[in-house]
Formats: sequence, structure tokens, C-alpha cells
Amino acid sequence: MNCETCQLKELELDPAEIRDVLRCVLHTIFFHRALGLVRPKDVDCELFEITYVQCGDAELEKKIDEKIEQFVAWSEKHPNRKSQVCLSFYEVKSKQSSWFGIKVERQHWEHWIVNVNVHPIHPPKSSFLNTREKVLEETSTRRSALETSVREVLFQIIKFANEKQEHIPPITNSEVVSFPYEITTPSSSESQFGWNKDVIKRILHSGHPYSLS
Amino acid sequence: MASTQNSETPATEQVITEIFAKSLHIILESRSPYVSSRNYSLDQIPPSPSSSGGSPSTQPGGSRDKWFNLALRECPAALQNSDFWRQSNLEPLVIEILLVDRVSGTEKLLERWVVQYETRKHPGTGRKSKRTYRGATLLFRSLYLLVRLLPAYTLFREMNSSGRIRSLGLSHRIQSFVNPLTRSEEAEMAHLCLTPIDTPFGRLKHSVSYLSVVDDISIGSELSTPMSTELIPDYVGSPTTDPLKRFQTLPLGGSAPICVQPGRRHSWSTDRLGSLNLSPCSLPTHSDPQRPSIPLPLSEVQKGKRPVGCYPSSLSSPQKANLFRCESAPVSRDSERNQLVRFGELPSGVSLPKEISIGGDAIRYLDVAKLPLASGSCVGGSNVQLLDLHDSDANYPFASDDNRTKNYEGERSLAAIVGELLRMLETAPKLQIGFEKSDGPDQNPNPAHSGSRTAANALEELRSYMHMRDSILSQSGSHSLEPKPEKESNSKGSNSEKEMKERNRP
Repeated sequence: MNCETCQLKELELDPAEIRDVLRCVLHTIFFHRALGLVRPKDVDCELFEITYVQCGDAELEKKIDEKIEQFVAWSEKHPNRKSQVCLSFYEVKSKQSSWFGIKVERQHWEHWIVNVNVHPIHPPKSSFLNTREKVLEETSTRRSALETSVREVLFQIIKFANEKQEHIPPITNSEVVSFPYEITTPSSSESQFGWNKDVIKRILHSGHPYSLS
Repeated sequence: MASTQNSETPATEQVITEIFAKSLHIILESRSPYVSSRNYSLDQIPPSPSSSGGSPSTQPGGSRDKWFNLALRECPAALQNSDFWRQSNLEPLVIEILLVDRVSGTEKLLERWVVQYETRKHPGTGRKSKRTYRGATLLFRSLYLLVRLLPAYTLFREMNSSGRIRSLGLSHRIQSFVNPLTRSEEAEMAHLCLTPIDTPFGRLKHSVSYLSVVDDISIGSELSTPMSTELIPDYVGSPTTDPLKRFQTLPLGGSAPICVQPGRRHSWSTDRLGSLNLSPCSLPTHSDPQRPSIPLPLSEVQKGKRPVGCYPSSLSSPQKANLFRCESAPVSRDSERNQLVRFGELPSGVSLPKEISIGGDAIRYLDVAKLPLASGSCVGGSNVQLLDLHDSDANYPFASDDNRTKNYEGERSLAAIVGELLRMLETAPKLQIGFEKSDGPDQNPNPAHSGSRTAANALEELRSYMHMRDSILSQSGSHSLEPKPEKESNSKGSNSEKEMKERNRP
């Protein structure tokens, strides 16, 4: 089984925009991959004129919010850095019991990488050259550009989710979120390279022929 | 059950039929106003009366609502048309979303959705029905999202949320054939195709052609629709509003009239009209050079959204007269809104400076014509004249008589104008709508005889104006502004107060 990876377009965010944008993107991905019986829940973005869809699963919503808060905390400590939030779907291949415990082997079949560049946007200070209206106009322009980028990312998700279907494993349960998943943020693997090292290690150990080439 | 020409299995046929039905449901649910299944509870969904047997899914009951693991509430618009295309699955399902002008009857194509089954050239190489069902499940996730990302969804939300009857509306048309698009439609529409759903003997394709920019259509059409107008000769602001705030909020340079004031809220205010403003579709984005620019920073207009022009364009003389008068009589806000909505009948491409100049022309017209305004808004023998708004001091809508305000070496002072206003209030006859001519300027109607309620209101206003005058004077620090008219107004005001007290004594 192939493992497909979707690199989403980078989004430049102000710290105040992280939660709204990540919720929108992550829930959109989950809505495509939660193939159980879903009661769609339309949600309006707080900062943008975008309506996205949630699966209506409270537990999923809670987990997503937790991961977003982890990322927000990390980004506050590491400002002005490019980073990624990775949503991975996997299958549990085997469970091997050892004297350490039960070792669970996960075989990832899809990675969604949300690229963000968080840097505080400092509006120019008001002066006789920069009127309040001009500052507001610049903020509005930047926000509109970000909204456009978020829309592009959502279309990107739709396109990828539609085109790549062969690698999706069969559904084995009746839960809303059909497949086990994990959300990786930079805070979960504090290293010089961020989370990339863990993800690469995981891909290498997944045992796929193509990944070893 | 509709059947395909090929020998699809009955199970696959059923899946194909339900794919058509679900597509229709998802599209119309978010395009047919007043019908929405947003944030509902599955328990509230009544069982579908037209549910057709069990689905290959594991859900009990096999209700159509849960087909493809996407539970939706019933959509009456979809149910009404669900059997339209069932004659044959070979016929395409074409759903056209139209923006309809209820007044003129014109239609504008916003979207065209096409769901079409195609037979496979080499039968037997397709998927099993189970895989077809799963492919449809994945597709409908994308379709459900896609209908909410397209620009027409914003229109749908706007029309669904306000609940008021609009001149524009969303409509749909379902056909079993595809009309070719005109050249202009082809040019302005974008196209999207979802990955086809494979069946054992064919495949189902979903595609959409959509108008990527709907801003100008909705806003321009909405404003071009004339609403019933009612000319009310007495146009003043509410007595409870701060009249001096009106002086302060009018921008310099002869800009548009009272409707520009940011602090003034009307039924036509931009917080309602602002919701009509649509963010442009991003895929692809089209620049619109014909968008009128509105440079004035209205506080009620959200940045980044196109505000709706509410400035007067071409005004007839009675309408011009109605805009300017003293605050002696309230005006119906509906009529005010009607007039201002009519003013929004702007030809495309009209920019604000033209409108400002038109407003200035209107002012100059009044100045020359010396139009008498109803309900005794004449002052001291002369009709109300507007100040020249190009004058830096002239931020006030109330005209001032040259003889009274041009005092103290010809300077027009704020206090002088306020005093003039007070004098006007004192000499104003009782408030009656429908007066064609005002009383003679030399008359001094006694407010006491016009009814205790009217006089009390006038006195209350007078007191408030006096208080405001005092506060302005104290702020400006101009101590030399104790004009004679103010003394007259004070004496007259005190006289009227004395009379009222005498009348009210038990």
C-alpha cells in the first residue's frame, strides 16, 4: 500500500490567526477522511468569510483543539519561524509483545503537511504619514490575501482527497473517524529540525519499498 | 428505478440512482434559500418517504438521508425534483443556479452543475458496486465542501439569514440536457471537475461551471431595483440625536448629505447592507475595474468589503428639498431609507467624487431656489439657506441667515449658528406634517398655545441645545461669543419657560 503525502501551500499567519486557520484546515482534512456516518456541521471562520465543515464529533474536535493549543504555545516560544503541523493516518499492522510492553507497529498511508509561517504582523505605527485608516487598510489587505490563501489550501485538499483514493485502506469500524490518526506539531518533538526528523524516521521504518529507494 | 442501458447490476443501478439524488440534495440544500440542514440533530430527521431499499452500507433502515455516510436533513427543493431525472440514469442531471431579479424578471446564471453517467467503452473493467459506493462516499465529502466554497454560497447565506423579501433571489432550474454557454458566460465562468466515480460498466462525472465573481451582480442589481418611495416634506433627524454631532460628523469639502454620518444608524445602514458585501472568489480572481470606489471612511463599513453606495446620484428638486431642513419634525426612517436606496441607482462605474459634486449641486440649488420647507423651518423672514459647504466653518446642515450669523466682523461662529438654531426653534410654529407654506416670518407663534406636548418638546430641545452651546463654548474658550441673537433667544426661551410654568401651576 502506498503512502501518499500532501504538502499544502504555506500560509503566513499572525499568531492571532493560528487557531482559526488550523481549525479550518484540519477539520477539512478530517471531513474527507472520516468515512463513518457523519452529521456535517457547518462552521464559519471567525476571521474569514469561509465556511468549512466539521464531522460533528466532539472528541475529534477536542483533540484538534488540544493540538492547536500545543502548536500555539510552541510558536509563542519560537516566533518568526516556519513550521509544520502534520496529520497522519495509519493502520495498526501488528502488535508485538515484548518485555518492554506491547509494541504497536503503525503503517502510515497518508500524511497531510500544513505549512505555516508564523510571524507577528506589526502594523506601522501611526504617524502623520500613516493614518489610522491606512493602517486598517493594510491590515485588511493582508487579511484578504490570507483568506485567499486559505481558500486555495481548501481547494488543494479537495483536489488531493479526490484524486488519491487507491491507497485508502478498507474501513473496519463504524466510528465517525474511520482510521487511526496522529497530529504532530513541533512541540511534540523539540529538536533543531522540528518534527521533520520524526516523520522521516517513521516513513523510513514503515517498510514501504518506495521509501527505501 | 431508472436504468442504464448497460447491464449494470441492480445494486450498482441503485447506487447510481442514489448518487444522482444525493448530488441534487447537497447542491440544492445550499442554494435553495430557507432550506438548510446546518447544525441539526440526526434525531430530528424524519424518515424519507421515498427511501428505496437498503443500501450496501451498514446503516439500519437504509434511509436516503444517510446514504454515503453523509446524513443530511430533508431538502424539499430536492424532493420535489428527485424524480425528474429518474427516467434514465443515462440522461445528465443539470442543475442551474440562477440569480433572479424579481422586479425585472431577468436571470443571471451563477452556477451550472452537471452530473452525468457515461458508459465505459470496455465493460467489465470497472469497479464493483461496493467500490462505487465508497468512491461516491469520498466524492460527496468533497462536493459538500465545494458547494460552500463557491461564491454563490455567500449569496445563499445572505438571502437565507436576513429573511426579508429582496428584489434579488436565488432560483434553480433542473434539466436533463446541457445548454451550451454563451461566449460571455464561458469567459466569465470558471470550471471544476471532481474525480469520476467508477462503476463496473461506466463512470459518473461531477462538474461545475461557476461565476467566480458575484459581487457586482448582487449589489448592483439590488440597488438598481426601485423601491416604493414616499416623499416626506419634513426631513429632519430624530429629536433624540445630538444635533451638534451632526455638525461635527459632516466631512469637509461638500460631501454627501446626512447619510454619510457614521454615528447615525438607519434601517438602511451599512451594517445591514454590509452583509451583502461578498469577498471575491479566489479561484480564479478577477479584477473588476468598474467597481465604484468609495473613499470616505465610513465607520460602519467593514474594511476589505465593498461598501454599498448610499450616496445620492441624481436628485429631483423636491427630493433635494427633503434632505435639508431643521430638526423640527421627525421623518419616517422607512422613507429615508427608500430615498437613499433610490439614490443608490448608480450607473456602473460612477465614482464617489461625482456623487459628492452632485450633492454639492443639490446644496447650491437649494441656496439659489430658497425652497420653503414645511413645518415652519423658516427663519426670521428668510427661507432656510444652506451654508456653502466649501467653507471650512460650514459643517452644519442648517442654513444661516447672513444678517444674523455674519456678525462680529463678518465671521460666522459656531456659537452664532447655534444661537440661530435656537432662535429658529423658538419661532417655529407647532409641528404639523403637511404644511405647504410656513407662517410669516414675523409671526412669533407662542408655543404655549400650540399644545403643551409640542411646546414641552420644543423646550426640551431648547434646553439641550443651550446645554450643548455651553459645553461647546467652554471647550472652544471663545468668550466673545455672546451674540445678540443668543440673548434674544435666551430671553424668549426664558419667557416661554415662564409661560409654561404658569400654565402648569396647579
